[in-house]
Amino acid sequence: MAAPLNADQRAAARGQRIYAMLLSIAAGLIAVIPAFGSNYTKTFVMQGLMSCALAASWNLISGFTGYVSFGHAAFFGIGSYAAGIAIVHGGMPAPLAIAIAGATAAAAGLTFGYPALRLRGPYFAVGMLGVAEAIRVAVTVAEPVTGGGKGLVLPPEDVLDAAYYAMLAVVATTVLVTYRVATLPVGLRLLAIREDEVAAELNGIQVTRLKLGAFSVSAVFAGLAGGIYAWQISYIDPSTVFAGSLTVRAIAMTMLGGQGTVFGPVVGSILLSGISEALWTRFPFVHTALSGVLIVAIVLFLPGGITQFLQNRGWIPRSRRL
Amino acid sequence: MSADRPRPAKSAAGSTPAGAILEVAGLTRRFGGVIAVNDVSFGIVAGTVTGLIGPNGSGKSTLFRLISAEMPANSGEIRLRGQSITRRSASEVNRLGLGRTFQLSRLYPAMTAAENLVAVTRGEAKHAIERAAAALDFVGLAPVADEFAANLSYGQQKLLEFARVLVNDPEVILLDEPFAGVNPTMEERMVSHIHALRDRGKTFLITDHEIRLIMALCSRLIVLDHGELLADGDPTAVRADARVIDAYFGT
Repeated sequence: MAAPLNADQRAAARGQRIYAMLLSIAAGLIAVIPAFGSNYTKTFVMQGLMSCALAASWNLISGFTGYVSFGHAAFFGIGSYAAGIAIVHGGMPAPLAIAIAGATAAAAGLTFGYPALRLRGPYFAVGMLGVAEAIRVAVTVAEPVTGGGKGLVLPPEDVLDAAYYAMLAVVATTVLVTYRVATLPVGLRLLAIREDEVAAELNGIQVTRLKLGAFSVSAVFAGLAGGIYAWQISYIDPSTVFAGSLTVRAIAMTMLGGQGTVFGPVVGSILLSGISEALWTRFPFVHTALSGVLIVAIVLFLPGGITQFLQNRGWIPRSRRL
Repeated sequence: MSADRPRPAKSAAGSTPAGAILEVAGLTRRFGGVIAVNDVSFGIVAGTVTGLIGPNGSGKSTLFRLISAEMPANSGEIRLRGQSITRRSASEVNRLGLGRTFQLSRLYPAMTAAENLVAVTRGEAKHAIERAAAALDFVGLAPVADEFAANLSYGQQKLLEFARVLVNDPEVILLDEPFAGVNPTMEERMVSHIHALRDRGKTFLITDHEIRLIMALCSRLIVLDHGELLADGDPTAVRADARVIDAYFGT
C-alpha cells in the first residue's frame, strides 16, 4: 500500500528512524570502546553488558511468559562455577569452559524448571528464590571442589578485551534470539501464557513444553554470562555470583526498558547502568536510595517500561509483527 | 450424516446414539461435599447442534470444564470419535479436535485480534497467519484485526473467541453462553455462523440462558439440574416436560 502517510504516520516513521539510529550509535560505541576506552570505561561497560545479558535472558522467560523469577542469579552463579571448576580443576581452555558453563546452566534450567514451573505467580517467584539460595548453600558446602565460602581463584589473565567481546556476543545473541522469538508465532504463544495460561492450554498451546524451553534457553545465556565473568574476574565466591541483587538489577532493567519486548532490556540496562554510575559518583552515600526512588517512579508512571510507552505512541516499531 | 431426527424426551439416562462423535459416560465431579456433576451420560452425533441448559449452578460449566479437560473428573469417561480422552491434557484434547469458548471471554487482552488467533494456530507461521485472517474474515472481524483484544466491544470479544476456537478447525465445538450480553445483531451473526458450520459437519454443544435462541438453534436439548441429567431429547418435548418446567422454565 503506497498511500501517502498522514502526519501521525510521518511522526512515527521519524521516531522509528531516531530510535534505530540511537540503538545503532550505542552498539557502535560499545563495539569500539576496547580500542579507545580506559580500563575504567571498559570495566564499567563490561559490567553493563553483563547486566544486560542477565536482563535480556530474564526477559526471555519472565518478560514473555510472565513467570517472574526471583532466582535468575542461580544460573549466573552455576555458569560461573561451572567455568571456574572447568578451568581450575579441569585445566580447560576458557572457550570450552564457557561452553560448559552454558550447558550446565541449561541442564540446571531443565532440572529446576520442571518442578518450579508448575508453580504460578508469587509461588514461582519465591520458589526460584529458594532454588538460588539452595544452590548457593550447596556450592558453599562443596568446599573441595568449589573452594567453599572462601571462593575459587582462577589463574589470573589479562583478558578484559576478549571477555568484553565475549560478553557483547552473548548480549547480541540473546537479543537476536529474543527478536526471532518475538517475530514468530512461538513468541505469541509465550505471551499467551502470560496473558491467560488456562486459555492458552485449552486452545492447544503446549504450555509446559514452551515454558520449560524458554526457561532453559534463558538459563543458558545467564550461564554463559557467568562463565565469562568468572574467566575475566578470576575470582568467584558464592555470595557474589549468587547475589540476589544480580536478579533485582536484571528485573529493574527489564521493567524500565519494557518486558516482553526485544530491545527493552537493552534500553533499560543502558539507562540504569548510566544512571546508577552517575548517581554513584555524585552522591556516593545515597545513590542506592536514589536508584530505588527512580525504580518506584518508573513502575508507577511507566508500567510497561520505556519501550512500550514509545510503542504505544507509535514512535518506535512494535516488537512483534505478523 | 444429518440424521438428526427429533427424539422423545427421555428421563435420567441420556441417550447415546450409535456413532456418536462425543460421548460422556457416568461422568461425576465433586467439590468437597458438593456433587457438581453426578453420573451424567450422553452422546452427540456429528453435524448436530445440541443445547445444554439448566438453572445456574446446575453443573453446565463444570461439565464443559470436564469435557475440555480443564479439570479432571472423579469418575466416568469421555470419548471423542470412540477414543477415550478422559486422561488427556487440555492441550491434547484441543489438538484431537475439541475446542471450547468461555462463559466470560478469556482472550489475550494485550495482543491484537489477529495475534490472538495466530498464537493458537498450529502449523507454519505463514500458514498460521493466513488461517487467522480467514477466521477473522469469517466472523466479520477483519476490519479490527490489528486492534488490541482489550479494546474490542464485548460482542466483538465473543466473536473473536469464537474465531479463536475455529482457527484450528475442530470437529466438536463447545460454546459456553455465546449469547450472554451480546446485542441482537451480533446474536444473529453468531447463529448464522453456527448454522453454516453445522452444515459443514461441525458438531456443537451449546449452553445458554437465551432459550429463544437455543430453541431455534438446537435439534436436541439436554437439561441438567443439581448436577444430574434431568431430560434429554427433542427441544419441543423437553420444553413441555413438567420436571423441566418446574426446575428451569418456571411457570
